[in-house]
Amino acid sequence: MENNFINSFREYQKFDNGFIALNPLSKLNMLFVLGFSAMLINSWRYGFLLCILFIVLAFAAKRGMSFMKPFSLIVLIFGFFTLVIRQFSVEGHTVLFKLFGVIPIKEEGLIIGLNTASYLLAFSGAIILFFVTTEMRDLMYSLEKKGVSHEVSYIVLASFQTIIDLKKNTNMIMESQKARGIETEGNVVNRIKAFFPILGPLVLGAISSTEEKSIAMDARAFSVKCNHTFLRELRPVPVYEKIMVIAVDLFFIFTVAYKIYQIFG
Amino acid sequence: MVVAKLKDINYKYPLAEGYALKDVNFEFEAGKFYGLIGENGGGKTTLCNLIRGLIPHFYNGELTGEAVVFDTDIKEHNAEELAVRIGYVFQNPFNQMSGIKSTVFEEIAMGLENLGIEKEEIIERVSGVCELLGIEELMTKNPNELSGGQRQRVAFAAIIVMDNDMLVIDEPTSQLDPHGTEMVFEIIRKLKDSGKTIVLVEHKIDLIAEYCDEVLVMDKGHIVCSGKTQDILSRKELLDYDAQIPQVAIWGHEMAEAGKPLSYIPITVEQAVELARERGVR
Repeated sequence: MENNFINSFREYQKFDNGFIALNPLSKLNMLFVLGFSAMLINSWRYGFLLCILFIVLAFAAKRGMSFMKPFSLIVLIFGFFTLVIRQFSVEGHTVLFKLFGVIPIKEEGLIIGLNTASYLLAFSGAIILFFVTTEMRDLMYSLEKKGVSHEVSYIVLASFQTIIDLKKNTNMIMESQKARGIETEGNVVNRIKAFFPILGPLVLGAISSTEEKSIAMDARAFSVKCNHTFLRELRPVPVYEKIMVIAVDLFFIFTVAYKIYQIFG
Repeated sequence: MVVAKLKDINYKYPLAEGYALKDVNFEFEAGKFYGLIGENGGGKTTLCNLIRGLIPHFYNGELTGEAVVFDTDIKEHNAEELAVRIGYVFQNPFNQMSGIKSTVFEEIAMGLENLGIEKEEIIERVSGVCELLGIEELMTKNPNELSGGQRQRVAFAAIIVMDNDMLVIDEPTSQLDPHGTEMVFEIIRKLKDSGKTIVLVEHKIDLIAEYCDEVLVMDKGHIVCSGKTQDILSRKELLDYDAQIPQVAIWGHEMAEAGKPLSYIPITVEQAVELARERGVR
């Protein structure tokens, strides 16, 4: 088993799904541009079509649940909110039906509301889909390959671990302060009072461990100026992926041109 | 060959009142294993920081005297490169993990990636070190989810893989349980066999007695005595400096006081057993 594991570094990283296997930057480019195009086209038919596409892609990549969790929240909050607001802010005459027999729902407001909601959802969907199908280390790897410094890459990647570590430390400090008789539960005043004896050691501890960590990383040649190699490598971007990106980008440029034509022409 | 030469060193940390190192003179020779003992706050870690160039490059403060490491004055060294030539393992196993790698194998490889070593060589060297230290079963694990003892072994591996000329090891077992400590001792035993220059700060005096060629005793910033391990650890005066001596050495002294002196003061259990046999104990 260990030999298989070691050999996995000898070749490019393998992914079990075509969409996940896309280079993170290609994926980012395509999703971002599609999200933006929804904003420009501003039609609920196109917006919702994109949303459905994203949902299908997420499920095909076996990331359905992690995609739907934040996405459905956004659908509920943004989607619903925009529809309600638009009912009041847009003047309309065509009453479709009366909600609860009293509140008139007008067609004009509904269409504009759906348009706005759809592009907001498509845009958020694109971003969520990117993050649930891309590992941060892969994104940073591609960025480093494009010339982003490894310091930046380290800061981004380490911050995720730092959050986990800080959370662990907070719990530990909270337990020890409780043992010393500081009340951390109860009413608001108690909780605010407990804030300082917890935050103090947490911040000071974090600062001192940063010092140690930087010494440890320097012993691992972190600051040596030379070109790095990568043990874990992603495949070079294949031709069909490049064509896909160019096609999506061309489509976007066409949309922008059309929009400009609409406004000025 | 001398790898590090310290002459008339005085050093004061920024904002500190007193000197952390006072009149320190010593020469570290290549291939020897040095043990550094003494009370807490005696200057052991500061001395390590000086050899590694963290003083004056990382910590400012007031440094006088001459410190020459690898034939170059410490002030003129490129701090980044010196940090790589002298490997460093310290107390806290949690702060020695990078936090950006998801397997131990990649964690150990990180230093070599930073040096731009070819991938095939990285794989060979990392697998070699894992095998040497007997941590193959950890290779696929997440370094951020290991126990303290396991992390400390990974920290050793990550430094050893870089094949440094010299190693500075600062109280590697002070935060570990007996099992973790035993595992780390096992690694130190292997390092001794590799013939590298090693400086080990450690309170576990029996370990010092067993492995070190020479011992330095520090107290209040001074090196109060230094020399062959057998000569130093058999001295009862060490207790006055809050440094320990092995239990068997105390036994040797007590035998002498009782009017039944042994032929020499033992510092390891093996020596004590031998001396007891001489006396006809079976």
